[in-house]
Amino acid sequence: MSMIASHRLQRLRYLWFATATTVGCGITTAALGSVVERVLTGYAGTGVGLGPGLVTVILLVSAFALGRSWLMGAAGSDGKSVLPAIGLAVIAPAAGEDESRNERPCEEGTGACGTPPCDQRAALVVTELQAYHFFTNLLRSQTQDIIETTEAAATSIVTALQQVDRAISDMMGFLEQSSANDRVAEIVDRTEQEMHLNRKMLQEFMDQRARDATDAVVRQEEIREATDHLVGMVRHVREIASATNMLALNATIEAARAGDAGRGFLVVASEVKALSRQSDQTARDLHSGIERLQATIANSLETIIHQHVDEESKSLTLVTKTITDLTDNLEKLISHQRDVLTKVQHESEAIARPIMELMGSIQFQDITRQQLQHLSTASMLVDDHVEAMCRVLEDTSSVPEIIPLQTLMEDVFNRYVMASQRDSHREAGGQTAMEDGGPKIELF
Amino acid sequence: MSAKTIMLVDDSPTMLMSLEGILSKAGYGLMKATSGEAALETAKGAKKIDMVITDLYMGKMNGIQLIKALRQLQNFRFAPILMLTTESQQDKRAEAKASGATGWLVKPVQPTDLLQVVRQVLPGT
Repeated sequence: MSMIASHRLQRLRYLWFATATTVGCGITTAALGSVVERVLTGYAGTGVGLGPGLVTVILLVSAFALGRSWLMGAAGSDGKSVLPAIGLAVIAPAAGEDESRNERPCEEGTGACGTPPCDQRAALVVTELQAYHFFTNLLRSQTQDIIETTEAAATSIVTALQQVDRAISDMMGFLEQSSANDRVAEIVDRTEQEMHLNRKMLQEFMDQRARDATDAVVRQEEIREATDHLVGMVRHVREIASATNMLALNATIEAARAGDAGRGFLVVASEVKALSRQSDQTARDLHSGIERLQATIANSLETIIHQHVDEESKSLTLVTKTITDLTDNLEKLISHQRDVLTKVQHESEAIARPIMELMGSIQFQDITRQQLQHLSTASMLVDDHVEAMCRVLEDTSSVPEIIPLQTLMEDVFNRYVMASQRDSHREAGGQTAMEDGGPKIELF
Repeated sequence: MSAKTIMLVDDSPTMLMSLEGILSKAGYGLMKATSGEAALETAKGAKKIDMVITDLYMGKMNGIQLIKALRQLQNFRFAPILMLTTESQQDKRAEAKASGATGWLVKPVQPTDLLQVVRQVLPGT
């Protein structure tokens, strides 16, 4: 049977119970009472008259007991909890539908919690108060859920923060290891030394080449002087050849003048003349050769001095510049790397700081947990107090002793562990906050 | 110099993680306990614990009871023991002081403040 159907049946039962105990018993049993009275009177045969009123009361009580036992049976073993709930469902509409139902005579209270009190308004209050038990249970359950949820969230946040922090530390360790300042400085120094050595070698080479060029000029001059001297000697040879030719000519003339006696001499003079011509011709050839040689050497030296040296100088200058540029670029690269490392270090510290602060801020969960647990405890005390009030309403035969709410609230107050809790409590009670909480940190 | 070891005692996992995150990053070795009883057992068995940071309200054995018990142990007669709690009442502080606590910190404690206090009571760290 569904819960709703069960409740409807219960409502029907209670309606029957209410009707039987109010309207039915008030009318039907009144008539029946007079019959019973007559039977009893006749049966007893005594003069003791019970009277119609007393019999009516007896029957009413019987009907009430019957109805209650039926209801209790239907409610099962937990009749205490079911009955008031049904009463709530029945009494409220019944009061609206038929005001006369509330006018049934009240019974004396039975005293047991969970039985219908005689006063229906009290019953309503009891029912409502008992419903608070569910409410406070719900409050505690939800509070516990909040505590567990925030604890899980806080734990995962801290775990994530630790992972981020570890990753940053690892990255910084790697960067510092690979780009340690000492190591960078060592690389820079070594590179600078090598570059300087290269530049020095190049400069020495260029200087040597300049000296070689100068030497070449000197040598060219020496060669020119030597060839000039040779040319002079050749000229002198030609002069000797010319003089020899003149001598040969004179000898020829003198030989001709001498006649036959000078015929032999004429042959010699002719041979001398031919030799002088050959000498002159050889001297000419020699002069031409020297001039060609001089021109060739001059051209060669000119090429060496003015072209090759210039080209070499240009090339070496370019190489030197390239090396210098390389050095500069390397220094820039290392400087940039240093800047990057410094920047990363700075940013890592900037990230690490809030991570550390978050690690501390996460403590709010513990504080919230304790506050919620105090609320939970307070709700339990209120729950107990409501139950005690319920007993007061149900037990009309005596006034049970209860712990006043004021006392319970003082107990709640004494359980607080934070100045803010106590001040909030005071403010809720209309008092002013009075605690400053003392110093946050105190060394004894 | 080897890292100093601090024992953290709190029934809140969040607090333990928070303190662990702060102190481990500063280079301290850590041991953790979630109750006064567990902390006492750990203290009896541990070779070397240089300092204790404990909560006040925990299960059966509270922080003050723990401090009293620790002070009975030879290794903890002079070791710094800090109370870290949400409680701020003067009479509780006085009780903690009388039981041998070194200092009192109210939750939540800022990481920089915590480290400063720890360095103050654990010189050379």
